[in-house]
Amino acid sequence: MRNLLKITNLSASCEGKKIISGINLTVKKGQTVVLMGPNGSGKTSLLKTILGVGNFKIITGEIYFNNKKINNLSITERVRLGIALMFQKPPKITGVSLLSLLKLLNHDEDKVNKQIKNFQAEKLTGRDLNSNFSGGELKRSELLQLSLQKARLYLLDEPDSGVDLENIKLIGKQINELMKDKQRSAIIITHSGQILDYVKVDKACRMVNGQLKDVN
Amino acid sequence: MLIDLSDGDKTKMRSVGMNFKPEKMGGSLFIQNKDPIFHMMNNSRIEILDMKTALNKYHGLKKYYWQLIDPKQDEYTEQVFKDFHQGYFIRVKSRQKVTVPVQACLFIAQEKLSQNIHNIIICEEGSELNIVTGCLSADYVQEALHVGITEMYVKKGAKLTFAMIHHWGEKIKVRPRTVTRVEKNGTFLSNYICIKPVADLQMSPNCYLNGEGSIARYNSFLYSYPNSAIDVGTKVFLEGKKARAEVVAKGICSGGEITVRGYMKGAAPGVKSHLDCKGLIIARGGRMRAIPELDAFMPDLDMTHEAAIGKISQEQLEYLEARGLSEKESLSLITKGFLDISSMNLPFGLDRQLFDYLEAL
Repeated sequence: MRNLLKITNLSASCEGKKIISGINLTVKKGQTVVLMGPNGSGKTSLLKTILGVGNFKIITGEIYFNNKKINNLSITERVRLGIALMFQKPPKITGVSLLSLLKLLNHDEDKVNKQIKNFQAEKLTGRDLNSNFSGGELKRSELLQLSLQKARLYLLDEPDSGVDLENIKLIGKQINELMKDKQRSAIIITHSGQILDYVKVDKACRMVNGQLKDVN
Repeated sequence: MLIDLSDGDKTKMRSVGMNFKPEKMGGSLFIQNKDPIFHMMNNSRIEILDMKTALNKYHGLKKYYWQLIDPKQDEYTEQVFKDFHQGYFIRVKSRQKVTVPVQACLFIAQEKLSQNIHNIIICEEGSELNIVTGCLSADYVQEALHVGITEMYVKKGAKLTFAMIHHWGEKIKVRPRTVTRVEKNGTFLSNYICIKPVADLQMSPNCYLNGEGSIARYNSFLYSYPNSAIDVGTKVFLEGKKARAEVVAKGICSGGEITVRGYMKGAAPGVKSHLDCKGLIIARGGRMRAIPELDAFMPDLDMTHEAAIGKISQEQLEYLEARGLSEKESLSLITKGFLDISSMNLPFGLDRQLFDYLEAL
């Protein structure tokens, strides 16, 4: 299988402090990789560095997506190549409804409506983005947005944290739905591992102190 | 006549909410420079006249003309008093509820003109009226001054919804002077939008909630550019028992200066009011000030204010970019959300037009 994402010797810092160090990771087309590790070990930082979000500065190393080096591309350019990030703590945006954003992500109204139904998000669409959403609602909203992006690599940051069992089931089902055609890949961060009851993974990694260990 | 207007002028007029199918409106009056160029009354329940005709017909409108505003309150007001050009007179008859909006356009098409306008709006008892006023200058006018005196009377149980949209040029100076008096159980809703460049705009509409249970709500949306100075305030005098007022002013500063002022005087039992000034600075080199003031004279009232000025958060921008929107698209969506124009319930998809403007900024 072809490498979709290839990271070599990646180190990055945030505000002068080294956050991740010497990361080597490949994700093949159709592969789902799970990333575990303690709080503050650098998991979220790694996903954000891949997409170029946040104040992370690459010190060494390269990120290749579909054989193209993306270190210096803007967030939007990386997204347009096919990378999508599910935020762990998405910001509130006042006056912008979830529905208005969904319509910008995908112009096919039927598809948007279908996905809203699939994610049982009918009651969320009129609300301001990420305002007064419960834990489960936030995750559903994030994943719903991702499902309308035309991505090839999903970076899912703790899709199961702060979510009740009912929602985990739905989220697990929808992640499988995203991955079903085996053409897309994902990196999933999980603390509890609950999501693994629903999603099949091909590879597991552990991050400790900014370094990747135990790649299986 | 409207037919004589150039396509450019018409396009700009549309941008301030003017409708070129006047038969679909409650009525229309267009004033170019000092003269009316189009007048249509479609509804016997409303009277729309140019101000000179109205003054003649009603023998000087003594009960209304210069009754709410002191002609000597400042040099601009005095200028209109001494050299009055034109204006609109709009009156809805008692107990008549007209939901189809009436439109009035004040248009400057002459270089270096000082347009001295005086308007009067009367909502008779129990009536309802919706007015859209578009004030603008032609693109070919570089320098001009617009002074607009407006006296509005909302009588017992009447409701007036008033939208004013400005679209001036970079060297145009604007001095509106507006006062509204609201009687018992009357409601006044004002929406003001100025999101296109203007050199110098200063206004501070006053509203006297004289009647028991009278209500006023103001929304102002302002956008400043480099070299523009915008100073917009709203003063509400809550003088009737249980009168209520809400003033919301939102400004986006991409340069130049915006000052948003608010003053509320609570002078009757049981009054309730809230003042909200919110600002967003999106570029260096600009200045934004929010100056709310509450002035209470009664023990049993409830008056609050809120003022906040901030910048666009990097986190919000990156979040939208992570969804594939460009930086410009993300910025536009956040500023649109901040202004939240859809909350104004503007007529004829005017909110849609305003969205388009914001997108083009």
